[in-house]
Amino acid sequence: MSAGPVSAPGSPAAVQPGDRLPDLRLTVDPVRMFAFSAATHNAHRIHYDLAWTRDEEGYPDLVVQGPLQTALMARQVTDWAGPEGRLVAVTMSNLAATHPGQLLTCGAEVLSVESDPLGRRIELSLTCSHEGKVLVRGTAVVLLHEASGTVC
Amino acid sequence: MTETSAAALPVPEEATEWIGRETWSGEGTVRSRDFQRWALAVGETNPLYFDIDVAIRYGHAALVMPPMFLPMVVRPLRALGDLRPDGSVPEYDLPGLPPRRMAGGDRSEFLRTVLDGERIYATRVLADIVAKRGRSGDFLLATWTTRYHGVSGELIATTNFSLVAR
Repeated sequence: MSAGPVSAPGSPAAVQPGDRLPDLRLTVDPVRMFAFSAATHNAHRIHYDLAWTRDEEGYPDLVVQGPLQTALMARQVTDWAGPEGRLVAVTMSNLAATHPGQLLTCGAEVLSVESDPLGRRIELSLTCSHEGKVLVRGTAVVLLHEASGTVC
Repeated sequence: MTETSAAALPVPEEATEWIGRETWSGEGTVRSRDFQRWALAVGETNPLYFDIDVAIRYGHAALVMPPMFLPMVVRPLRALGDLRPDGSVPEYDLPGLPPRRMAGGDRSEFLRTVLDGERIYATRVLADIVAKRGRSGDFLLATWTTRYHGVSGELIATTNFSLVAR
């Protein structure tokens, strides 16, 4: 399992459209899948029952939980934004199944930066890929409060 | 994924009758221990979720809930005998929907920060069912819209969860 915090090379407050966030690279292993299923009271067999997953569902391996992938993609953004940032919107489309052990690369690029009465509103495009194949595609919007110490 | 009409699975008429109708409502209380367990599984390190002193310093009266955790606050607890044969929860069942399921996507809007201890009320409506063709074949994509309200009735968030059925 390799999923440390995303380090920000610069201040999110100085970000511009076209900037890329640091990639989040990680491999989802069975320990993380089990912990996530436990935390979400999820007993869906495709996440732990290999015989069922192969024989009944036709997948080659267990399937990583879609909400775990989208949570990891959102985490990439909120880790970068820090406590001053608030996630205000996400869209995610799961395009293909993800399996444990696959090295995932979560990428994020700034689409727009707009002024908002509460701060700066930053929209990003997101992808989660394995070996160049996009498995999840999405967007996120964070509201970044200008003055530290208070968050909307 | 591109939408098709000729080769795609037929959308069951008895399921489309549910479009626009409320399929579920529920409520729950935000508990820090629950969202911290989720946050640790995701690898979250945001101190607003874990450290009350930091949360207060940033102007919050309590620990902050990770926004993506919100559906879990109201998720019903099911007896094992009530689960579907594949172990998944029955609340996304519709008449005529194919049995094999997986998450298809999410579109959510979070209108404000939600804090530890808050009571959340949710209502869910079936928004849409469409036939799709993906990399691994034809499937139906059903989308439910869930609206979350606080104790004063104010809208807190809206989530649109899509389920792949094939």
